[in-house]
Amino acid sequence: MSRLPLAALAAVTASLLTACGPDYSGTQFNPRSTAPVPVSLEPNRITLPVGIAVTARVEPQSSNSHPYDEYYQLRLTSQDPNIADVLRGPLEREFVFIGVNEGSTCVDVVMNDEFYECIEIIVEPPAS
Amino acid sequence: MLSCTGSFYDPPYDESEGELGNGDFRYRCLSSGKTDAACLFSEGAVFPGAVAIGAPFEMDYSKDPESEVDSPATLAVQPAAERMISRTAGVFTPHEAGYAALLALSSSSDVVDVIHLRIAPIARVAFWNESRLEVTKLSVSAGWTTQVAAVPFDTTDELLSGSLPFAWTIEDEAIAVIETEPSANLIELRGVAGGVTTLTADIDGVQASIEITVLGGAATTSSASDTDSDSGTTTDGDTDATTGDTDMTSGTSSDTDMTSGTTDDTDATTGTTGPLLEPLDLDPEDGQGGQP
Repeated sequence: MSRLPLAALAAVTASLLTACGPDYSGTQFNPRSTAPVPVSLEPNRITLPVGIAVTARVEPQSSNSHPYDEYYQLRLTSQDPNIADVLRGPLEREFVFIGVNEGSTCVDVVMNDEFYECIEIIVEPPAS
Repeated sequence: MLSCTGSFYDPPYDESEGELGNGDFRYRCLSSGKTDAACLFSEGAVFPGAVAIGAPFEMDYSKDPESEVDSPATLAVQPAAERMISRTAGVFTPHEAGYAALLALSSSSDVVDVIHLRIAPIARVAFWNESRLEVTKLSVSAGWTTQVAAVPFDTTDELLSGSLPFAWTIEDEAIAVIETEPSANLIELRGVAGGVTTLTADIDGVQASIEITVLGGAATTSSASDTDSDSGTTTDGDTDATTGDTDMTSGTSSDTDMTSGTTDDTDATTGTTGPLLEPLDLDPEDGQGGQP
């Protein structure tokens, strides 16, 4: 008899907590350096040539009024570092995207060990 | 430009600020620096605008003390893509035309700074005199020596740095001989006997040749010749290969040892330097032509 109200209370609490947290809607890249050749950092696709390293501050976007603050530990990982690599930059939430070999792969966006999305990264031939 | 660390020799370098503004990347020619155009005729180095495919160099990184990044003062530099530039025992070797990022990494492999180098194939080879000016012909008196360097350029005529083992040949060794190591881009040439011959520098099949005029008779023969014959600008005076009575630039006539500036007579067979360079676009008033 008493279990039903407890379960309901837990469900309501969980939904309230979720509602109070950020709601992931994508990632924004703010370049920190200018590459010597054109590169593209779009929320859903990164394009750069072999040999180029571009540094950007990465901001997870929330669709509600709760931002992804410093509590959320952001990690970006390339699914194929032989095509494109991602290294941590000098400051928090700064990352360096590197074109290693031609091809395409995906960069996993992970916060607090939770997977959010995979951003396509395309590596083009060396630009001269 | 020159720097020493403790009791260890610190090769000369030139630096360029990293793209993230946290410090400076320092370009160094290999210890045999005379094979790198970035260090030619200089006690320092010139940070390159581009490097040649296959031409090794060294690079390290010095963090700006005022940078907010927490890392040691000096960091290792790694290539971002080994396909473009590889690193072995601290020496970087470019492999493919394009741009290649070099990364200054902290001990935890975080990127502290980045720099991009342009890599290009050699399109042409030119010759430099000791003022780093391009020359298309060269004169030297019999018995005297002069230095000449081979330097590579790309298709946009940008100088390419990195150490390159040029191969040198001289058409007629009865007229002039190469006196230095055969695998360098800076050589010393000695006039043997009066005449004209051709000096050729080759790097991976890209060749350039320069006309060498040796003034005077055989090195051991006393003779005099007017050195104004070609440019009429960089030399003024008579050259006696045996006595060394030469004034290349001032137009005065005096017994001059071109190396030391002393006024001793010079025996042409002893190897005292006394080149007669004929550079392009030289202002005869600047005193650069013909200086050893």
